[in-house]
Amino acid sequence: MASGIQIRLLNLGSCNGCDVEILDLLHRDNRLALVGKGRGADVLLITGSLTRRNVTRLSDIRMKISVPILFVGACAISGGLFAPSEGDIERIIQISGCPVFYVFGCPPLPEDIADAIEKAMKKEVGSGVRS
Amino acid sequence: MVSDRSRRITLNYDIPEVYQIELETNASGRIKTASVISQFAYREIGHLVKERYSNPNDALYVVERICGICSHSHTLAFCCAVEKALGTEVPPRAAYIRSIVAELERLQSHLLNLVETATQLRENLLEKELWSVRQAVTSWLLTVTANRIHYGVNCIGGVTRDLKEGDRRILQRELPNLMSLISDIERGFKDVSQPRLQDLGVWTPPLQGEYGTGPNQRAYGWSHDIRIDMPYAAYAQVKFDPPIGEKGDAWSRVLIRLRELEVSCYLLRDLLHHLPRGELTVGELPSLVDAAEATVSVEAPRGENRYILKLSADGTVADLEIHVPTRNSVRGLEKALQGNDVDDTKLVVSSFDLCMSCYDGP
Repeated sequence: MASGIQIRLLNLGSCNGCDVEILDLLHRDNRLALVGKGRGADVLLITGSLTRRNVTRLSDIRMKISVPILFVGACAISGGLFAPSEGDIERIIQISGCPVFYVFGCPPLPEDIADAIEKAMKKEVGSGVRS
Repeated sequence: MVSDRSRRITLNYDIPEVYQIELETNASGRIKTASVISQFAYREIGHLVKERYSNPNDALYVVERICGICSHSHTLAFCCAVEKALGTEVPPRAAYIRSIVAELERLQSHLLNLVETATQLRENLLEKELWSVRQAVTSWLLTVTANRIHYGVNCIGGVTRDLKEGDRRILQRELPNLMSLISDIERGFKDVSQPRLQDLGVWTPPLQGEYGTGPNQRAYGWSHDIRIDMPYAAYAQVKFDPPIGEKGDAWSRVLIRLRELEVSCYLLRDLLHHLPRGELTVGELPSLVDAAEATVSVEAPRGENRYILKLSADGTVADLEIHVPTRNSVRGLEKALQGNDVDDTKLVVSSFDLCMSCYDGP
């Protein structure tokens, strides 16, 4: 995996399952680092089905994204059990024209998330990782 | 002259959970009022179960996804409620497997919270050590349940997966190592955090049970634990004393969780040792003749998780009310923050171990 990847994590209403697995991955691979709001990130990870209160949070950031986006877990990809949720995250995000990647699973394994981050860094647009 | 001007501060939490804490402070930086603002993970799960997934087997899948940290306690409470309404009991082996997974879940949940506390204390080495122990526990969960987050072990009337004899032996062999790691961690925490956490964020709930049970309540001397008071699964077959604190400060809450790790290990040892042979499910479930109701509480890692379930005569879910332990913790946190220095807020918050997806989900 490429060295020093800055990750921004956006939880749009998940059960924390995917988020805990992402934290697990961060503890396994110290080349990955989580960055907070307002800092430059190399990749954006989205978890959770879109809930009502998060709609505004998502539209606030959507114009600022210029990095690959990873949809982590069933909820982020399709709404999962909660589909149809408050809106199609992908449709909102696609406006910015960023490459999009999917990590399937409920929740996906940390190894699969790592694979997807690697692919995103290599800009292998359109490829998904299936678990 | 000291100014009496107050300030309003909003603390944003967004990793891994999203919520805000609004604080009003006085001129010297002491907190006057605090309130937790949430609803970011509101998924209307009670409503969803009633309207779309009213078959108990489907609903089980939904309640599991309330929380990614304590999913087993939700499915366990739901299954126990349905079984109580149907008037059936699970076979002993299934009850033991449910308890084993519940204790493994408690271990990983408490370890996750202790990692958060170590992060707030900026103790990187301790944080790494805790996470490696947590990884060992999640790998055990993977062995026992074939899953790391949503275990899918419970089903109405029993469990879906048996504990293989080889896996049981592996767990029994590894438990002493885990116990020694936990005592190392306890020593590490005592050295680095006791002076920082003592007398911080004191919460002294009235000891009348209005705040349910849980480690935060036990840190101030509330001696109740659902596993002892109203035993479910296989808890009637094992004996243990829940650790009780006295002061109700942040250190007591951390210490209670550290001691509960030890208790869970002892419980696991006993449960694994006495695991009976037999069936995994009751087989054919009895059918209802009339609408039925059941209230069941289980001791989730964060405290009392209460499910109030109504079944229609056709066996579907007519109503589901879920009382999660974080409800009580949030009320406690808002009180405990008052009078504290604003700089210590994150430490106090981490000592309360809030789970906002549980709090918001239903």
